Parts: sequence; C-alpha cells; structure tokens
Amino acid sequence: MRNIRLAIDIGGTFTDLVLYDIQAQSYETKKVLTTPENPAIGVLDGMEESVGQFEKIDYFVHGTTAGLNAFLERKGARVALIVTEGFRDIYEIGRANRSDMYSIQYRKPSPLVARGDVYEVRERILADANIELALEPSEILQLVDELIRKDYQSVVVSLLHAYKNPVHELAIKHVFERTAPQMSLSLSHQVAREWREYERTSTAVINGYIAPIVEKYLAALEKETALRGLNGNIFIMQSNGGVMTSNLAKRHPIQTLLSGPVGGAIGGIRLSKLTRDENLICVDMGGTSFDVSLVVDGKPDVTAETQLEGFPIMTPMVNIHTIGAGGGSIAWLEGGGLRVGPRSAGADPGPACYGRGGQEPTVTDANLVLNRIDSDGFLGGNMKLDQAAAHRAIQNIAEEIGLDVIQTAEGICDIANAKMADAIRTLTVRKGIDPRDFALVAFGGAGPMHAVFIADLLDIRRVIIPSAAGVFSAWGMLQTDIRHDAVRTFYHSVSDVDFGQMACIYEEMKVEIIEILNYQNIESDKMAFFRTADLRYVGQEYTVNVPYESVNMEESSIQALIRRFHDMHLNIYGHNNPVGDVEFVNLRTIGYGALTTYSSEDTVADREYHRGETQSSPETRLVKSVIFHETAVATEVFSSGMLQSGHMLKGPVIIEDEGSTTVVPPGYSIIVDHYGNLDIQKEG
Amino acid sequence: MANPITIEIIRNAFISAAEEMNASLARSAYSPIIYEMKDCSVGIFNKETALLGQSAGLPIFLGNLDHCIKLTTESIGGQRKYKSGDLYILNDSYLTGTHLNDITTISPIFHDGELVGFSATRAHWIDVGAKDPGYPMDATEIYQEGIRIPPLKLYDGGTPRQDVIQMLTINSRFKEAALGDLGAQIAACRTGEKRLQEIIRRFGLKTVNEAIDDIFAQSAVMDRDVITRIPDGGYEAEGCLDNDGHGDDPVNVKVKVYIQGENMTIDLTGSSPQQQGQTNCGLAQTISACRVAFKELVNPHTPVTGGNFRNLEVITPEGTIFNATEPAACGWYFSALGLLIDLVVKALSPTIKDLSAAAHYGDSMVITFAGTEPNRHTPFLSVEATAGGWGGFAKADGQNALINNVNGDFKNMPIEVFETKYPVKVTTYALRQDSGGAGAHRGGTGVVRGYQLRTDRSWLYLWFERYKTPAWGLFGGKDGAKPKVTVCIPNGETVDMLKVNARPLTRDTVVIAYTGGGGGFGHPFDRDPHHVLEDVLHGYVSLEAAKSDYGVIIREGTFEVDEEETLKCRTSSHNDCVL
Repeated sequence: MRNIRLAIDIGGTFTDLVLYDIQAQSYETKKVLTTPENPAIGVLDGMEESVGQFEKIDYFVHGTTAGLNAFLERKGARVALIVTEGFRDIYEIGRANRSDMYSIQYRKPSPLVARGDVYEVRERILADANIELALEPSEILQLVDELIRKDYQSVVVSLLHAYKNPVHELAIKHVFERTAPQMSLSLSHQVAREWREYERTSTAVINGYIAPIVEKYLAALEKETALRGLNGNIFIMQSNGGVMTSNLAKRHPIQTLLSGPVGGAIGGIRLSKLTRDENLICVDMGGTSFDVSLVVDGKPDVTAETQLEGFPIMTPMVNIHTIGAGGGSIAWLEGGGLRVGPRSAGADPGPACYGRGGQEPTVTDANLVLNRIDSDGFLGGNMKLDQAAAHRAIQNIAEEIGLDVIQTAEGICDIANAKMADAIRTLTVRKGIDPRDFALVAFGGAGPMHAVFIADLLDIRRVIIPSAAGVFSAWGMLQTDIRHDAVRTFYHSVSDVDFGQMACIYEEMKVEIIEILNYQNIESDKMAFFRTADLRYVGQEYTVNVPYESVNMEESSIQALIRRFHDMHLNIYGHNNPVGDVEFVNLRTIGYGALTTYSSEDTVADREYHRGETQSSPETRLVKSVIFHETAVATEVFSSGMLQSGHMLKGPVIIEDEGSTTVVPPGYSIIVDHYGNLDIQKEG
Repeated sequence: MANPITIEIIRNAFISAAEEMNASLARSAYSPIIYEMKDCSVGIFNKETALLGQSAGLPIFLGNLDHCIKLTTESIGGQRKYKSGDLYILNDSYLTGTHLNDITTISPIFHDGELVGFSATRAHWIDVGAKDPGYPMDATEIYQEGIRIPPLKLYDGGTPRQDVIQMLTINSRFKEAALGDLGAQIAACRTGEKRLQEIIRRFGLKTVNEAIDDIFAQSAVMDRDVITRIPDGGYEAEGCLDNDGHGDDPVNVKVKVYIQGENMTIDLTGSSPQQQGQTNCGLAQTISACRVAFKELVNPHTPVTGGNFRNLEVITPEGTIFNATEPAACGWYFSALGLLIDLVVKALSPTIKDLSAAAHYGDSMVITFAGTEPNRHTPFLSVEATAGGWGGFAKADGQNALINNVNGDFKNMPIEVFETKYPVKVTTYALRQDSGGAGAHRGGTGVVRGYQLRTDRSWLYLWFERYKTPAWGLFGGKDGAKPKVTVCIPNGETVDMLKVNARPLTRDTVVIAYTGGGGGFGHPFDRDPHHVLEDVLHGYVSLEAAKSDYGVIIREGTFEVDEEETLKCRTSSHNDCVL
C-alpha cells in the first residue's frame, strides 16, 4: 500500500524528515544526524527508521545540499571552459566592478576555472545570429582529444551570442557525444538562454563545477532506495521553488543549488495559505547568518538572477537575502563603542557557553545570561550550556563599557535585534513594500528567540513560529509541484514587434517545457503554463517581469501588456512614464506539472486549522525568572510537546523544542494552531 | 551621557537611514548611471552639518556633501532662513567640487519646529546642457559644460517651485530623465528627513545629541590610533597627468604628507596651476579625494561619520587644478584626483608597508563612440570606462582587470549587449600579457579590448591617461605597462593616440585599447620561481618576461623551472639574464 508522502531535508547538523500519511491525513516528523561524509547514509537511515518498508512510499521529495556544499567548499569538479577565440578572459574579467570601495588590497573571488583551463576555438557568431566564422570540426576533434588526455571531469562551452544562435555549441556537443559520451558537458545556452556573456558563462561554469558531484550523489541515492524497494521517482527540490525528478536534476544540476535553503521560503508559501496571511517576511536565523525571504500576495519572491559568493547566477531562484547576524555574533569594542557582529564565533569554537574554548561574548551567551535559554531546555536539553562561562565573557566587556552584566547582556540582544530590524526595513524600502503589512515568520535555531523583538521594532503585530521550526523546510517541500522555467532573449522595441515571431518563441519554449514535463511523466491535463515578458523603458538597465495574460498574440494584447508594465513600474519604482518608449528584453515561460491534488486542495487537517478546541491547560516545565527590560519577570516555560491545538498563552512565556526556543515578552498573546504553530499577536 | 547600548543602536540606525536613502534614490532614479553605475551619494547630517550616516555610491564622493550644506547656509544668509519642507539644489563646480553633471540636493530637517539636521543627495544627470551631449572632452571654460546652479530654493516650505524646476530641466537634452532623477533625489532627501525624525522621536533629541558626541568620539579615536602609529615626518611623492587635453604639457600633482602626532596634513602646494582644459576641480572635491586616500589607509571597512577626518588637514592654494576658480573647466575633474589619491599612498608607503599597495593603472580610460546606425539611420552614443591592473601588496598579487579606484561598483558593458545596441563589433576582450609590474607580488594585468566599426559615419573620443606616470612599483617592484590605443585604418595605416575629440572613423576601422597593469610589490627576484612558472602556464607572464623580469629560467617544452640556472641568474651580480 503506497500511502506515505515523504520529504527529507539535509541540514548541517540534522537531516529532517516529514511524513504525511495519506489515509490518516496526519503528519509525523523525525530528525536524524546528518552524515557529512556521505549524506545519503543519513537519508537512508532516516527512511529506514521512519518508514520502514520503502514500498509504502507514494511520493518522495528531497532537498539536497550536494551541489551547494561542493560550490561553497570549493570541492567541485576540474572544469575545462571552451570559449570563442579572442575572448579567453571573459570569465576572469567578469564585469570589472568591485563592491569594496576603499580597500586598495581588494581581491576578487577566485574563479572556479583557472585561466590555464580556458580553451579558445575559432568561431564567431554575430549579434544578429549570423555566422561570421564557421566552426571547423577537425579543430574540435583535436581539442576534445586534448581535454580527454588532460583528464578533465567536466567541460563547459560558452560561445558569444549562443543565446541567439546555439548552432556552434550544439556542434561541439555532437563531437563529444561521438567521441567522449561519458564527459559531463554544460552548454551555456542550455543552462541559461539569456544574453550577457559573463553572467551566462558564470552560470554554466557553476553548473559544470557541481554536475559530476550532484550526479554521483543522486545516482547513488536512486540505486540505494530502489534496492530497498522504492517505486517511482525521487523528486528534487529546485532553487526556483518547484521540484523535478532526480533524473532531470542530473541534467540540470544548477537548479539544485539552493535545493536545501529554499525549503524554508517554500514553507512560507504554504503557511501563508493556512494562516490566511498573504504577506510574510520569513527569517531563518542560525548560528552565523540571518536569511530573509519574502512571500508577497501568497507568491514566492523568485528572481531571474542572483549572486552567490560573488558569482552571478542567471537561473530563476527564490530570493534569499543573507545578513551576517546570528546566535554566534560576537560583541566587541571598537573605538570605545560596543559592536555586535558581523564577526561570528560560528559553530567552532562557538559561543562561550558551548564550553569549546570560545572566550568572546556572543548573542547566545547574552540570551543565556538573561535566562531566556537555559541548559535544561536548550535544543530539547540535548546541549549542555556553561552558564558561568557566558557570564564571564559578558562581564569582561561589561566592565569596559561601565554597565552591569545584565544590562550588557540585554544590550547585546537589543543591538542585534535593532540591526536585524534595520536590515529588514532597508530591504523592504528597496522593494517598495511596507513591513507593517506583513507577518513575521521565524525559524532556524535562533530565529524564534528574537522574532517578537524584531517584529516590535518594525511595527509588525503578528509573528508565526512554525511548529518544530527545524523541519519547516522539509514540510514546505511536500507541498510543491514540478516547475520548469524557459527563457529567450528577445530584444525588440514594443512598437516593431513581429507577432508571428513572438508566438513562435513562446511556442518553442512551451515545446521545451512539455518535453521536460513528459520526461517526468506528467500528463498533459496536469500541465499549466504561464507566459511573462521582461520589459523596460528604453535606456534602462533593469527590467520588470510582466505577466503576459492574453491567449493571443496581437496588437491589443501587447497594449495590455504595456499598460501592465507601466502600472508595475509605478508600484515597484515609485514612478513611471506612460508615454516613454518600452522595449522587450526577454520572453519567459514557466511550466508547472501538478503532482497530486494535495497541493491545491486543503486536507482535512488544513481545514481544521483554526478550529483547535482543547479545553485543557498545558503543563509548565518550570517557572523561572527572565530579564525583560532590565526587570526580572516570573516566566512560564513550556515544552512544545506539551502544547495542543487551541492552547492559549500569554507573554512573558518561553516555549522550547528540540530545535529552537521561542521567547515571548510581556504584551503578547499566543494561540497554538492545529499544526502546533505558535501564532503570536501583539495585545492592545 | 547616553548609555553605550543606546549609542550603538543609534549609530546603526544612522547607517541604516543612509542606506534607506540610497535605496530610495536607486529605486526611483531614471538613469542607469545612478541606479546601475552608482554615480551618486547620500548622507544625513546634524545641525552643525557633521555627518551622521552616509552611503556613497562612488568612492570619490566620500564626505563632500557637508561642505555644500555649509555653503548653501552661508549663501541664503544663515540657518534661521530654513523652513521645514524647504529643499535646495546646486551644482556649481567651484562649490560642489565636481563637474556640473553632479546635482546636489539639500533638505533641512525639523523636529518640533527646531532645525535638527539635514539630508543631502548627489547624483549624476546624464545631460545638463553642455556644448556636446553628456559632457565634452575639449571644453576650455565652465560655460561650455552646462548650466551652472548656485544654491537655489527648489521647494519652499513643502511647495515645489515649478518654474524653477522647469528652468533647470529644460536645459537638459534629456528632460524626462532629468525630471525623473530629480524626483528620485527629492524622494531620497524626504526618506532621510523622515528617518532622522523617527530616530529623534524614539530616543529624544537630548539622547540623540549625546549619542552623536560619543559616536564621533569613537570615529576620532580610531582615526588617531592609526595615524599615531606612523612616525612623525614629511613624506613626498609626485607625478603628472599626460596633459589637460590640449597640447602635451604635463599636469603636475605634488603631494606632501606631514605626520605630526595624531594629525595628518596633505599639502598640494606645487601642483599645477589651473589648466585651460578640463582637468580642474573645486576645493570640496579635493578635500573629498584626500579623505579617500586617508580612508584607504585608515580602517577602510568602517562606516564614516562626522568624527572622522578631524585630524586631517588639506592645504591647496587657490587658482591651482585642485582649487580652481572661474572660468576653469572641470569636466574631467577626477583624473588628477585619482593620481593624488595614489600618490598619498606612495608617499606614506615606506612607513606603512602592510597597509600600502603599489599603484593601480590609474584612470577611467574612457572610450566613446558616437555616430549613425547604418540601418535605421538613428544616432548612437556609447561611453565606456575600461578596466586595468591593480597594484601588488604585502599579502598578495594585484588584481587583474578591475575598474579604477574612484569608480567602485562601475561595470563594463557585456559584449553581447554592446554589439546588439551599437554598430560596433568587439574583436577581442582579454587580459594583456606582461602588463602587470614585476614584483615579489606581481601587479595585476591590464586588458585588451578591440572594436571594429560597422557604420560609415562615426567618431571616436578618447580620454586615456597615465602614459607619463604609469602604475609604479613599490619596495623594488617594477612599474606596470603604460596604456596604449591603436587605431587601424582599413588602408593599412595605424595610428596610436590616447586622447582625442571627435575623430572621424571609416567603416571597418579597428580601435584596440590596451590598459595599463598595476605596479609590482617587492623585488621580482624574491618571487617564488614556482609562482612565476604558474603565471607562465596561465599566460599572465611570457617565458621571455619570466627570464628578463623575474630571473626565472623555464625549460621550454617541459615547462619546468631550471632551478640551477635560475639561482645563477638571480644571484649573478651583473644580472646577465636580463635581456
């Protein structure tokens, strides 16, 4: 009986599992230790423990960090890059800009491909797609021989104007298929079919750099799960917020880059439907970083281009803004003033209270001194904390600034909270939105500890702490459909558009997507397509991605598209120019393949969301004295396991679970919802 | 005194307020030069016009708005003339220091009817009505460079003066853009106003003022700590621009840096008198450039406040390129300033080896094509800055192909976009072998970028610099290569030139720009031969240069270092290996 839907998300410490029993319509969660040397072991262990018989699995979705870790730790493949003759250094030169303004000792991120591994081929395609210099097949044959001899693991081909005319990239592919079919090959026009040679090359290089690693990991996982009886596909979470089959993921490894981190943002989408709050600011605060993602009008904030570690990536990704602040942020002195972060004690040595040799005071130490966390309740009591060490660390700095230890500890938290609130406010100004129209969703180890304080600084009245905040990402993954994005650069003024040509391009993208959905066994009645266009005023650099809603391709639909562009421009940038010249830059199509009906219809459990009706009162673990606003306040402490749907609590209160601790100061009330999410509202 | 926690929260709030001003400017600016190239700057100031928080888009815009506020206050007859909701605008080069395209807006901030501070922005307008579109390369008077705006009231107590706004924007060839960018600057000023008022409401004016004193004191302490560690004395360096765009006489930049205890004085006496060409600037921008030089050496990563630069004095006599007076043209004000910044580092380098770096390739290296598109017969204009090599330093090699120091986040234009927009084909874009100055830490390489004209009507404009003063090496390191631009005419003739105004080009003419490399740091013979070999394998350095510059003998064919020959070559008193 295949009645289990399973999601598995790999984190730094734990691998999280969420199971949904289709008959019982109930969820179950599980955490097992991550096995960094081979993460598949942790995944298989977790599956054995929680599901037992693999035959029972109806649907299995997985967030993998294989590609991201290879990229971040610089443990990717040895890549050869093939470029157009005369343009050997497009990848190394990049755009020649630098973010660091005053350093005369600035260093660029070091490239993933060394200059010596870049090979030029004689060919040239022009901006109008004409071939000026044709590729010589014999030259390619020779080059392929050389690359095989030199033992490269992966080859990336990025030729000028290949987004417009890919014929030479394809010709090189054919040579590889004949002579070295086993070679991992990334063609720039297949990875990101957009203009701008550096950005496209960078994207293709990252694809090639992680491809062999992702492929090896997924192949092993497919093999092992099949041996244990798994029928059907493994689905992989993609950076764009959808899923794809692992077979396809091996062909598009770059789409797995944010497979892990994106889960939280996707969980936010589902939460926005359940809580009827369409606008969410999701914050994931761990030991070293503070990630912010947005849900606006119930939709994920997906960007067509992003930067990771200084490298541009031109494939659609859920926007995740990282700010250097976390539980491990260090408090220190500079010019006699107190600073918090961005330096972090990280996991090793970690905060002073971890007792691993850290001497400097951190935000976590401050929370401990304020008694907001304690040794018995931190991470479900699984991690012992050294109260005295935290006290000592903070005392050292307290003496220097002339405050007592408690004032200093609360001050460290206040500064960290204010910085995070400042960062969120700046982000919302940039996006043209008002944080007061949003609810704050907090997860990650340190998020729930700070969320209510941050919300207060932003005048946000509602805070939601998802149940078992640690498995929130995995829970989100269960709710998504297959997604595939296609793009074509289409640089035309709106006044001289050839409708036939435009219709052809959209059709071509649709065919591409249908092929990919078919490949993943999606039937045509389960497919949905959305067309968009990137438009801008002539002379601008940035584009606005505008939905193309009309079915037909004619003058009136183009006019509607342009009107929509003017409106959106006003909304996003605060002004528009209804008589200004508008041009197309890219055409895009998003294809979805619906996996089941679960994602579109509420389950019974979902419908029960607001109907928790327990009459009982939860049992307190203890009542302890916690500092709020320099005053010790008697505060009840609960374990999340003791809470039931419908329980109502009032701040000050602390709720602990094995992944995080939620701190709620006075002046807030809390309702526990059907999923065990904490729905926190400001009173009055 | 305010509590240290509150002080830190307020300090962060000021920085964040400036970031929000910048976000608000970038979000609504019309011109890519503002939101993409970041040719802009914003700041929030207290009543005494000391900086509370700033977000400078370009390094060269560091701390020059305070001066403009003071001049505006003077010009209107004192602070009591300000009303809530007022907004002033100015661009006069002799006041703001930069070229006329840079428009400054200033808004006084009131709290409970009392003047508490200012917000200010500066942004580059693409056109302010100069004799040529954008800005010319051969102007000889400021009157040819566009409309001059003294401090002028644009909003009177919250009411826009539409006639004044029209008068200003009508002078631009691109009125829509001018109006859009002005709107963005006003929005940014208002954002700063709102945020400072919120901070004061939340903490109280008294607490905020106390916190400001402490925040400034922190900045001052940090500045003084670094300068105190430099031994007292006078340090000098000098160099020159190739010319001012007219003739070939060098434009001299002379820098004397005096360190006395915790104070630094930069004396520019002896630099050239103001020039006929556009290499002049106003005093405000010279002070700003000196602050950039100071900042490069003193805590380059710390946010700037009004407490900084208190121990920095700048001396520059009137009537020189650095303190120009009417009617000096100021369009290319930054070329001399870029050199000035590099020379301050050079002068001090013997005393602060670890903080210093050899020189970078120096200037924006601007190449402009104008002409007519052959199919549509429409005019086109492309203006590009070109990347070059940066200097080596104590810990690492200089970087290859970066934009020059005063331009920060400026980006080059993708070839695929360039070729689609303009009738010009790019023939090559690559690093320039052997252009990095040899050194224990090698200077970064410059670039080679070639263009082929595919239209019958076009003109070339060039502003390439630093031929006479290429990027110098330090501590025994060699200079980087000089810049070069070659024009290859289809009849086979080639001409080299570095500066030119509106030179007509025929179809299929090829223009190849070679930018300079950075200077080397430390003697090249101290470079590990295996690093030299790596440079050869990657093609940054040729086999010949490995031998002649680094004394490293590499066996051709096997590409191995010949240790014995290398040692012989490097220790020989005659350096026989040097070709």
